[in-house]
Amino acid sequence: MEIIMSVLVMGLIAIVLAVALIISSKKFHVPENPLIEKVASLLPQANCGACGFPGCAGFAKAFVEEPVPGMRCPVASAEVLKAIGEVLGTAIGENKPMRAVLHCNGKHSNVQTVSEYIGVRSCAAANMLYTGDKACMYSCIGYGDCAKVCLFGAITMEDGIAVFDAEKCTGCGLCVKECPRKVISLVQKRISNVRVTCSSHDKGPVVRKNCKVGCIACGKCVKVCPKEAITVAPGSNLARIDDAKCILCGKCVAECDIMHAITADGRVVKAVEIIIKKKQQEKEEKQKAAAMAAGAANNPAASDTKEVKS
Amino acid sequence: MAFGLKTFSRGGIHVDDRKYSHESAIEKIPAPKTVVIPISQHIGAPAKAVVTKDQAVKIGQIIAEKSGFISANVLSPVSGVVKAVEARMTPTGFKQDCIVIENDMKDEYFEAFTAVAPSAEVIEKLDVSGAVKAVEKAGIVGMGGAAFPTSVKLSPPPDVKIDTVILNGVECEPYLTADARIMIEDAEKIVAGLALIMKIFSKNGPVKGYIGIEANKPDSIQKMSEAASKYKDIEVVSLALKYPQGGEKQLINAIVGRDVPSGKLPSAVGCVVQNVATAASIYDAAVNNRPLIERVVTVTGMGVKKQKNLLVRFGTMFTELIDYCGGVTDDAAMLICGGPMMGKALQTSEVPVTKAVSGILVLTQNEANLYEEAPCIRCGRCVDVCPMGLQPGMINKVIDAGDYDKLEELSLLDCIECGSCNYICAGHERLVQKIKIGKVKLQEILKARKEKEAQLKKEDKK
Amino acid sequence: METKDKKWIVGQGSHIYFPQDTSKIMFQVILALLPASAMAVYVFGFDALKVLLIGVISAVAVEALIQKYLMKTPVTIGDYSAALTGLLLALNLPAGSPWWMVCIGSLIAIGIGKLAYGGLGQNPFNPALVGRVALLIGFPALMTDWSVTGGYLAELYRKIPAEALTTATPLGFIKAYSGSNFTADLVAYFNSYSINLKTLFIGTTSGSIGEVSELALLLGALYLIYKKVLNWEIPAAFIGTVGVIAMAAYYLKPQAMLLPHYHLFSGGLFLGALFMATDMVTSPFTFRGRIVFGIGCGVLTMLIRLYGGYPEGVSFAILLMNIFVPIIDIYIKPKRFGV
Repeated sequence: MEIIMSVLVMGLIAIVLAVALIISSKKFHVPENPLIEKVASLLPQANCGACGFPGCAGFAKAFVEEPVPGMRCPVASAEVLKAIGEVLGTAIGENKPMRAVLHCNGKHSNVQTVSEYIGVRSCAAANMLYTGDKACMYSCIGYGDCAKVCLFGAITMEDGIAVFDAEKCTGCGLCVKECPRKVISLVQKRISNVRVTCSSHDKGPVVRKNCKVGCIACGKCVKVCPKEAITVAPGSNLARIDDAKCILCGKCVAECDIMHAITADGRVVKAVEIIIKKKQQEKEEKQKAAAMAAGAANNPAASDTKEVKS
Repeated sequence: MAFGLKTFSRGGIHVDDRKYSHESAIEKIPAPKTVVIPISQHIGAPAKAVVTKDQAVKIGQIIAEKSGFISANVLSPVSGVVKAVEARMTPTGFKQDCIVIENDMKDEYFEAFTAVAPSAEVIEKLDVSGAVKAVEKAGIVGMGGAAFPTSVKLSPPPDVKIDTVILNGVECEPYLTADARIMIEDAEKIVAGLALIMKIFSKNGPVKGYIGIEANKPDSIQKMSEAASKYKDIEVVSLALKYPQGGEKQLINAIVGRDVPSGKLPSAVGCVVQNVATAASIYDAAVNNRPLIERVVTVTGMGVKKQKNLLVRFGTMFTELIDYCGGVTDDAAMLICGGPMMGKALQTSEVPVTKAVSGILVLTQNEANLYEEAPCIRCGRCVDVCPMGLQPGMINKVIDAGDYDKLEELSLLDCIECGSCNYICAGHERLVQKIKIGKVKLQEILKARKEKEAQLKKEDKK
Repeated sequence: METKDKKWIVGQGSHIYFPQDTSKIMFQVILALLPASAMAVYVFGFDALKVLLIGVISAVAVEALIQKYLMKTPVTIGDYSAALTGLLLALNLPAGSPWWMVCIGSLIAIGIGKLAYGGLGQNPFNPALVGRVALLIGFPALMTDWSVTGGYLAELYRKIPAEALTTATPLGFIKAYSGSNFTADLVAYFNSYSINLKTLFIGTTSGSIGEVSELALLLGALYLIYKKVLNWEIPAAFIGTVGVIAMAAYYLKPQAMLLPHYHLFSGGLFLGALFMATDMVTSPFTFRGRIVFGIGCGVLTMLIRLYGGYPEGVSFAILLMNIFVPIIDIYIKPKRFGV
């Protein structure tokens, strides 16, 4: 008997509460454009804020109600954009995928450490305090502010600098804003990216003293580039590649053979190896030819000069 | 610790004073062969260099002119030839534009100067209308470490009435003894300087002068009291040993019992505070036309072989001073410009002495008590010791969580960065560093809000 | 080494630190609890020693194991906070506690009360009290079993039947009392257990092993005050409030209330006020906030003692006030300079 009573009472309470919830959800419903919800569900749900709006829901609301030219979700893939376009009935422009690259190779094995830092383990904090514990004052500080802010896990700290995973990077740009030394930049995602891994504006001899892989602005790379994509701005003591003009031939990477301040990844690495091998072969052939010519000069039987060296 | 001595009412810590160099009389060291002079040695707009490479300069010649209202001249401390104007490492921790001068060792002055001995009669007869201009020309800034341009402090807006001038002879930072020795050896000049400052302000009404000295310097107190007895309206006040007794607001609170309101300057309560060394320089500039070319620097800490007080020309490298004191010991670990509480840790000793350098501290690992950070246990000692009544532990939590909006209600901008909270923290949190980060973030938020309001106003008008 | 080639250490803030840090504070508190622990062993015998040792060891083991294998963070047993929690938990238990109950208490205290919130400094509730209250609710019979097998009290209690031992504490007696002649029955009860003000203060009475000797606890607290570790305002406010309310209650109803000084020296008031409520992590930041906290604890303790279902209210009172600490910190700010 008591069991039946308690079941009835609980059931009654449940029904009353359910009815109350249904009534209030209908009565206090906030009318919202149904498109907003559709668009919001299509977005990547990363809530990274790279678009400048509070989360994907915020972006969807702004995009549907008040679209401003230039608004974009940097993280959405092409299919997502197409789907959003179908929902809204318009065509949405291409989203060129970007990725972040680091213009520094100042690992602990390459650059000297000149002091021991015991303050707050954050790049921004160290940058406010002094020029950092590495010999080069333009380097990546290496305490991981960028890794902390990356929502996609694309940045890890290895041997004192940040390492970027091209696959995971969506080009949202949060790390670029966070870096106090401004050594990260966004470039278009291609099969490979060639970049100058140095940001130092110090003169050549100073860079050589501080770091094994810094750019000394010798200009050899500028001479080899077939498309004039790499330049050294006057007074900057630093080479920079214009990604739009770069054809990924790898010649500059091979040419920077003293300091190795230009890095490539992906397929270009193979191309660079081939170039280096070719250069090596040419050098050997030249040496052989010079040795043969010198040998001929010293051999009296083959020589037809009248001068005899005593 | 003597009871009954005046002190400030809130917070504060008791640190053992470690005044190892107190007995060492000031030694003048010879001027170096090359001097490096940063063109910004003060708070405010950097000065503009007015010399070029290969130009000959004499002592006291203006090599960088003040630009803007809050700025100061930079004078050459040696006679010689300008070798370069380039970026060099300075005691700020960053590279800044400096003027490098090669000393010809002839010590030729740009302008003649006198050597009138300080006394009450000299000050009475002096016409102070040109004094502020002389101070401005000589490039005098606060020598206690803050380096605020003195001529600006001595010329408040016309509606501000100053009735109290306080000299800061407290030197509450452990280890430092420069001011203590100056007060023993140059007491007359300091008190004359105070009388001069009082005369500058006395055109608006009577002015009283105080000299605050901590009770751990009885010989300084005695010498200064003797000198002050020759003047009327100047009183030497013995203060209890508590850090940060030497902070402006704390000093005013202790001596005259007035509280400087949050966000305002001491002139808002009718007070002006100057360091004792600055007062002596003011006398020299106004009465004797001497330029500011040197200062007393304490080189101390167990990391140097000998602890001394040295009279040093600006532009001398720290390395030279440390080597003059016998060099570093094997267990030296930290090199600090200033005192151990508010000083700046440096990564190299190849930086020049500037107007703001009051001491060079070489600490061993034991002295510095180096510790790793541990979690905050909310012990609340930081709140108990904060002289401004803030909650450093709460600020630490807010900044760790990234909740920068909450910083506004924590009155972050009142913080004088004295380091008391950092010293007492049981978990060795880097509180001062976090507060500095918080101040930057707070300024960003306030700036963004102002810009948004301005933009809304513009749109409203449309 | 040439001065200009030397590699220096760079930090910001004050470059010197006061030498008394977290692990030193924890260690000093453990030292301050030694008189109470010694008294516990004297009064309760070998059982109490067993409980104390198992409490400390299990707490340290729980923290080490959870941090190493579950949380995969550095093991921090070296800061003595786990040992302190274990010791406090053990001091809150009866002498006859079985070893497995002590271990469960440690597991809940450290695992849930401290590590689940993120470790040292992040917990809102006093971990030792979380453990004790969990045991109180989970094993109520064992937690109020005051039978003793050794020590001073074993001698004293040889003549008393086992069932009567649940009322071995004055507060227990009052809560269970349903007779009509309170004053006379109270005197008889005191005589049978030889309870008087002196024995209550020194500690030769029954209760959890740490709470009985107010004298030992006071000695420890004085040591902590000397070392400037104890924030004295919480015990002062807590004990003061309890005294005031006890006096008022006695004045209003003398025929049914304990004399105020008996309220002060019975039960876990001193242990709670001196060592549990003053736990730095779970008490307010500011001086005035801590006074409010202490007063609140006192009020809640007396409410539970007089009107609640449990004979002793200190543990619940402190946990309830722990909930209010964030609000106290928001509304009670220190007085700013120059405002």
